[in-house]
Amino acid sequence: MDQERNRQFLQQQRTVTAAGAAFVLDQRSSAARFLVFGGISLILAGMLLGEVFAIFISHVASAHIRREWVANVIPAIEQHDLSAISVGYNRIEDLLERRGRIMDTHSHMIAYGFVALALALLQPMSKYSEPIRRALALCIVLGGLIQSVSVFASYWVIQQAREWAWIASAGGGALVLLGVLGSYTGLRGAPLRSDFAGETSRRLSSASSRILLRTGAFLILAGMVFGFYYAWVFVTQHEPRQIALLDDALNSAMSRNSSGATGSIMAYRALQSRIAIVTAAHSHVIEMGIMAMLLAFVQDFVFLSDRWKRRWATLFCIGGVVMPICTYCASIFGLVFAGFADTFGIMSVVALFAMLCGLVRHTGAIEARYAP
Amino acid sequence: MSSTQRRLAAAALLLVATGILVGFAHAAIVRYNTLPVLQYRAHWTAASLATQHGSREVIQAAGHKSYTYTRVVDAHTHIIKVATVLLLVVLVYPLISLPEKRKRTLAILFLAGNCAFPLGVLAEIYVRGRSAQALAAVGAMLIIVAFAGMLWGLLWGTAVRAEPS
Repeated sequence: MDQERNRQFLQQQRTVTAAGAAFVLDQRSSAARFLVFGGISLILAGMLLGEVFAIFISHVASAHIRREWVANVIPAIEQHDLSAISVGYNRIEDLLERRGRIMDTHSHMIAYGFVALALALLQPMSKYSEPIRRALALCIVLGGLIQSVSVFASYWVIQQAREWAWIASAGGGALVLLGVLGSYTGLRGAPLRSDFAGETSRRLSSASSRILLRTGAFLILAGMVFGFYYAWVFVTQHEPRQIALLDDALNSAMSRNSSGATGSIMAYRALQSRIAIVTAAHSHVIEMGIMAMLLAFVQDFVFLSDRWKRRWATLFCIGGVVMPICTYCASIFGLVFAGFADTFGIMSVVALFAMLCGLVRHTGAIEARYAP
Repeated sequence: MSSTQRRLAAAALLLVATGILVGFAHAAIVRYNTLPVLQYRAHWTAASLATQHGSREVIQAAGHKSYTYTRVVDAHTHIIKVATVLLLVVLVYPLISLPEKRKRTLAILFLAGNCAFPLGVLAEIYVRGRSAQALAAVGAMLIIVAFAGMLWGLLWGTAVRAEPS
């Protein structure tokens, strides 16, 4: 029965190709395929890194920073011990440096993955030949990978190698820039295609595509509206309070008021955590939305039964909707909701991995069929 | 693909490139330091100067550094992310069930918002007062309204197409 279904699927794909209309993701275009696999792999790696950071590193590091302030820096300021202040200051900076590097890697990988996936869908509109498109696709995926990995590695390598990591990071960024600008010039003057509307409609006609498309669009809009609201809160309340709280803490410590200094520094850290968590909720809603909409376009190439495609799409959407909500709730109610956010984030990662497996199966099936 | 779609796709790719260039410039200027570290240093400097009763201008300048870093990184990320959403709009453009003229107007509003919003955010660094914030807010509002309009057309379109099956 499975064989029969596979045969029907391949027949359907062949019919589409024969009609010359399989352009949203042309299976013969290795550039498009490379961008799809590279894009999804970058997104998956970025999501996994984010999960590992959220579950194993973020909470521990936040507690470590709080402890460093309360147990070392504040007493050192009270005693006017400059060397102890310097040691504590550097330890906190190191923890923040690690957080920054991991977050930068996480966000850049996912952003490059989105660009790669979106460009895969635009490949058939490029006027360039397949080898040029392949080279541009390589620039984007490889550049994104080099930039992200070198940003990540720059924290762990020795000081001398750090300069090289930054150069590699800049080189990776330049490759991505080259790929994007090359894709831009490829679009200019390309012939217009009249079959785009019909083909897009066909690509998005499956139930799994519709689920992903609608949920994704709603998530993006919700994320934008929430971001608009939070920008106002941030500018008027959260941002000005940060320096004032730190100033209070240092003043209290200078006047040897330990409880006042500890209270202010805890409030300062709590405010910073809140800003980080709410900002993460805002960006994650939009990112999950973008991802859902992009995945809607490749559902036709996920070589799984319709029922399973629908299940994975639903699972992805549940994770995509609930994860940012739980992330936001974590800023108010604490760690329990952070745990829920991690769990729902993993659900989306699993669904994405299942879709990637379906894409690999599709490629294998197509290649087996078309192999000489 | 219509000429409007092609122009929008080209504009989106140019915006992505601009966002990458902003990121490049920022990374080079701050010597590849990350935002949490830069903010921490700026906060510490401002608070330390205040504790030592430093001059008001110097304290404000230290505080303004944190403000600047946040704005530049915000502009960098938002240009790229909104441009990615614009690429999605290009892809679903034929499915948006609205009159062509209205669709084009919404797409132009979205594009205008994506230019005005980061410019407003960056202008906040140099322009005191509410005018830069207003520009950023208007840009963000344009993006939201245009996307909401297109979402409405998209849902209407997909619902109509799904009906016969």
